[in-house]
Amino acid sequence: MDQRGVAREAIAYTVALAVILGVWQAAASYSHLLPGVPQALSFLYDNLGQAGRDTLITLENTLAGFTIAVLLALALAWAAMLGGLVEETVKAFNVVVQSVSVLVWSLLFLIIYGFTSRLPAMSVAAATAFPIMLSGTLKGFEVSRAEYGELSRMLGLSRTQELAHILAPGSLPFLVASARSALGAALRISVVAEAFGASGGIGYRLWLYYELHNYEGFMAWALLLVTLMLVLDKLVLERVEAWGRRWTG
Amino acid sequence: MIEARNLVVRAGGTPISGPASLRVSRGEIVVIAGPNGAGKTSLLRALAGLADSVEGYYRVRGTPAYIPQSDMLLPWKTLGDNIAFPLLVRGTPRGEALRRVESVAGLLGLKPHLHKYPREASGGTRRKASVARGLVVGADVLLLDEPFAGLDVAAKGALLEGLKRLAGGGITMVLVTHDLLLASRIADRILVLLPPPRGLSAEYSLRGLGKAERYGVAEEVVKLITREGGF
Repeated sequence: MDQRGVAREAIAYTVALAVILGVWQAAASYSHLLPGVPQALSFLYDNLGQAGRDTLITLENTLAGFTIAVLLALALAWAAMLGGLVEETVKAFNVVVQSVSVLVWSLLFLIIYGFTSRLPAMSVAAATAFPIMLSGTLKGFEVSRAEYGELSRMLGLSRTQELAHILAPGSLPFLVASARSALGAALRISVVAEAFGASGGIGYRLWLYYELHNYEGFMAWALLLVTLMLVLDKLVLERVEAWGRRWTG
Repeated sequence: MIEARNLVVRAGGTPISGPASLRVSRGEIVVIAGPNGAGKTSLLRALAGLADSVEGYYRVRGTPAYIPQSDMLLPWKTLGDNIAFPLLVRGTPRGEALRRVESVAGLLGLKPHLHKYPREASGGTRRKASVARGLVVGADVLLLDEPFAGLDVAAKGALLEGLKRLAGGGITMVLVTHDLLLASRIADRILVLLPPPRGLSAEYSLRGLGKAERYGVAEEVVKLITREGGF
């Protein structure tokens, strides 16, 4: 993106943020429960240590689940390249996983792992990221094979060599684009699992503050979550995506 | 180097190329011409061992390298790494692979471009890199599918010179091309392939002919293809 594009994007985000904060402030003036923006920011400032610890827990949960999803998606997409029944089964499995509600996943993992474990949040993040990653990886592998499959045959590459040298790097633009969506979705959803049953993290604290009728804390942590999402997307994922697409020019 | 007798390529049981009977000697440059749908690429792929369903006899002595119409260069690797790729996946040590890349690149005038990524190189340079990738494994038979397609005049000329040098070094070449006037400058023979069941139907020798005579033969072949192709 050129300098003009960066400036335009900065203005767009500033306007969007100003509108949302303005609506929030306007709503706060009508509600005797909803705190205003300054109160929420002040609460966040006073509890920065807790905010940092919760952010770290949520990031750990999300990244652990996301990593599991990526590894599983890569393994299944590679298996799908065998074609025939295996490919059909992998695709069907993906559709089934996709059709399960996040609420069902969250409660299911709570039943399995219990209410104080961090595993439900990680597992929900994995279950959310997995179908997105698998769809992207399958698409990337299919496009790479269509484009370079004959090269693999010409050079007599083994399946492992084809994966390492052709399919994986050839799918990189698809993988990073999927990873951006999958990580964002996993982060948004893992906080839901944290709210249902965990002993830390942004989702847990959001639910705790709500239960305690501490709405300043609730809005402060909502702001924290949005900020984390934006920072992660704009400063990390967007750059990783650009890096993954660098040779597609 | 190459021998085929009644070679027919099929797809889903239907013949898509041939029958073809041909013999190509070491260092010879043979051009296969024909109308669209004659099965030129299928014949070339069959000779490279890439066709799924083939009947008849064929034998390629030596190491063949098929150079497809699309360069199939991996965009995430430099041209040098693309050329070295077949060696590296076969376990050749990197130093040895790079030495052989330098040697092949020298033949085709590619040395100044080895550090470039495919998107940074011209069409002609990419095509030469694709040829070099075939040669680097020690191929002595090049099967080139439309090597001049999409290149500008200068790039065509440079590629033609490169191929001429390779033939001088004993590399055998079979070229499929529609650019007959250009190919006639280096070809020893032109074979005309028509859609099945007619297959390889005519052969023209260009050995010992001057430039003008070669162009004359090429024009005659174009007329034949136009007539037979129903244009």
